[in-house]
Amino acid sequence: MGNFLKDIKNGIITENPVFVMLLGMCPTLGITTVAINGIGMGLATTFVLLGSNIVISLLRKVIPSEVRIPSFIVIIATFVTLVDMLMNAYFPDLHGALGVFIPLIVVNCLILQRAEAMASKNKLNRAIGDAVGMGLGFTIAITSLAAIREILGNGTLFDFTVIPNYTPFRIMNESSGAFIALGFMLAFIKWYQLRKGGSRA
Amino acid sequence: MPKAVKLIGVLTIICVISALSLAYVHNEVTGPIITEREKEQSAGMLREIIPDADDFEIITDENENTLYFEIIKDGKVAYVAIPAESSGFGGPVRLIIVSDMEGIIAGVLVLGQSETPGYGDRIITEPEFLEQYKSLSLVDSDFIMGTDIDALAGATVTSEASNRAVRNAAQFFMLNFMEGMEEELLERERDEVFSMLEELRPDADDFGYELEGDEYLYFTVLTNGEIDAIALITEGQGLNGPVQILTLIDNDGIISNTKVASQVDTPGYGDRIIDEPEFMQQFHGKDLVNDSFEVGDTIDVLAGATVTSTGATEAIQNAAIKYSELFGDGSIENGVSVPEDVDDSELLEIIESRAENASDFIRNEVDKGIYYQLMRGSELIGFAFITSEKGMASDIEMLTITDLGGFILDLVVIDQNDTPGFGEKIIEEEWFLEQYIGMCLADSTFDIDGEIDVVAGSTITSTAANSAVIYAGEIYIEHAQEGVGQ
Repeated sequence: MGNFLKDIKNGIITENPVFVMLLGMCPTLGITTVAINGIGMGLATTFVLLGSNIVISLLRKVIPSEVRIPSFIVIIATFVTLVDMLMNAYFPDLHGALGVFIPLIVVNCLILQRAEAMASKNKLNRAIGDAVGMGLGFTIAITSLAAIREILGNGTLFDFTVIPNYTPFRIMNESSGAFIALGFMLAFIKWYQLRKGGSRA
Repeated sequence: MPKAVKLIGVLTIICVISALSLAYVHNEVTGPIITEREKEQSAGMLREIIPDADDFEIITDENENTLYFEIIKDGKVAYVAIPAESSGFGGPVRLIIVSDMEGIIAGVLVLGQSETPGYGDRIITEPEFLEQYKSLSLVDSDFIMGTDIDALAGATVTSEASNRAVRNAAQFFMLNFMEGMEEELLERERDEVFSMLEELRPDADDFGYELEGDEYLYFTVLTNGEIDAIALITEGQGLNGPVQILTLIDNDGIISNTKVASQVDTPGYGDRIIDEPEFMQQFHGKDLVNDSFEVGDTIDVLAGATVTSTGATEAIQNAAIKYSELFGDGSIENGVSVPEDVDDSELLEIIESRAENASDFIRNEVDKGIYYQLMRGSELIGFAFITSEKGMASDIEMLTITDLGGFILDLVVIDQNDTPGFGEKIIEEEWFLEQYIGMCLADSTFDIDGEIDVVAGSTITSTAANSAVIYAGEIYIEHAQEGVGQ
């Protein structure tokens, strides 16, 4: 149980996929225009991570190492397609907003990396803990980035006006705004870590 | 070996399980929900335009792709909504055009677009633009930018894309909901091509065409009653949409001229293929089928209009493919071809069945064909001529039966293998062969469009059949007549 919680913390903080490992940059930059997209994308990715980690962990002794990568990709693609169809059926608005980025979860390197590095080498409970941790870490990271962009770009958060009579900072709605916002966030996190480390020393 | 089997086996099993589970979810869980929701969505949208409609019906083709919507009011179909799209600046501009059964537009809605915010998306934010289409007729209006429809300033590409989509819908409407509109559309297309041909070939006597179904295969340029050149209309992919090129090919398969029939590329860049004729002139004088047309190699690209140049070149390459499909790699021949491999016994059967009075047949072979003297006992009562002329894909063989004076009693197409759908028109359209009955081989000139009308949409085949009859006339005058003993 201690391992399970450690895995979750590892995913959210120590090895946060976006802020620390810089994995899954494509959806991170692409869909983070409004906060709700961040949550939707994050949860969709978490679902795929969880599904693929579980299946791959269970099959880790069955899949020969020579064909493990194609097997992983087929398994991941299956869950991505599943998410795509389910979102289209039950959350059509979100599905429309995320558009092509849903099928593109297949090529999110975060998922293949977790399958290869974690799920294929560990027992089921650790694979689940890792998937939950990484999924939540990814969700929190892209939602916070999306929230910042939404506030700066539209003056709203989850569609509620937070700054009345706001003149939109338009570039935040464009993809270049994603690079700028992410750059500042990474710089801030690094600065914070260094300062913390520095004061301890 | 077992290792390989295991590798393949595991991967195959994973794939099969994956496919089965996805198929199950799609068919049993999500599929019906999605279809139902799409129907509701479109119904909700259509209700904006026709608020008092009773019901909506999606009409799909055999693959369940949506073709159009029927809007039902008072128990009958009162309106149709036609989805149509055309590529704009950032991707396809998808519209839905609602019209009543007479073709009068009730409204135009944007289904989807990805145009630049603040510019192209003004087709949504400024409804005045699409309002312009209201009350216009899908049947009568030409939807010309600047005349019928004013473009959105600063969003020209998007406006033109919308306009093209409406035109596509108009075409769909005419083809599907108006009786006899196919012909009208074909006529319009033909007139457009003919006026282009007139510009390119003011010296020509006449123009013709070959039709297959509701599509033109090619157009012909006629001088002195003979086909002088072939015109093909083909397209390639430009930046914003298709680049259509009219290619004029002479009888040796050489490109004699070209014209940009239509293009929608960026003004000042792509449209330079029209403004700078040097580009298209590169194609002139080349052998359509045997020369290669490669951008950057044999064809110099227009700097700043690479995509459009490539599109135009692609159109010419497509013309080459079409040309060789139609005519082989050879060219159209005007000239005599003597019937080959005619099975004599089969032929005799046909002649016997047609010339019932005759009891004996004397075969004569001459340079232009074969003729039989029809005998009753020892008395000569008439002639049967077998002549042929090269049609479009193969020889057209004709049997002409005359009396002693050369008056045509019967005319039969023995063999024609021209492209199905139009070659056989000369048989289906009985009036064509009946024109000849009673004409005299010795006196008639068989002028096309003078004494003889060709079958529309089958010019080459009709012309070939006519030429075969002319050869029969020549045989009659040069050989057969002598035997009559006048």
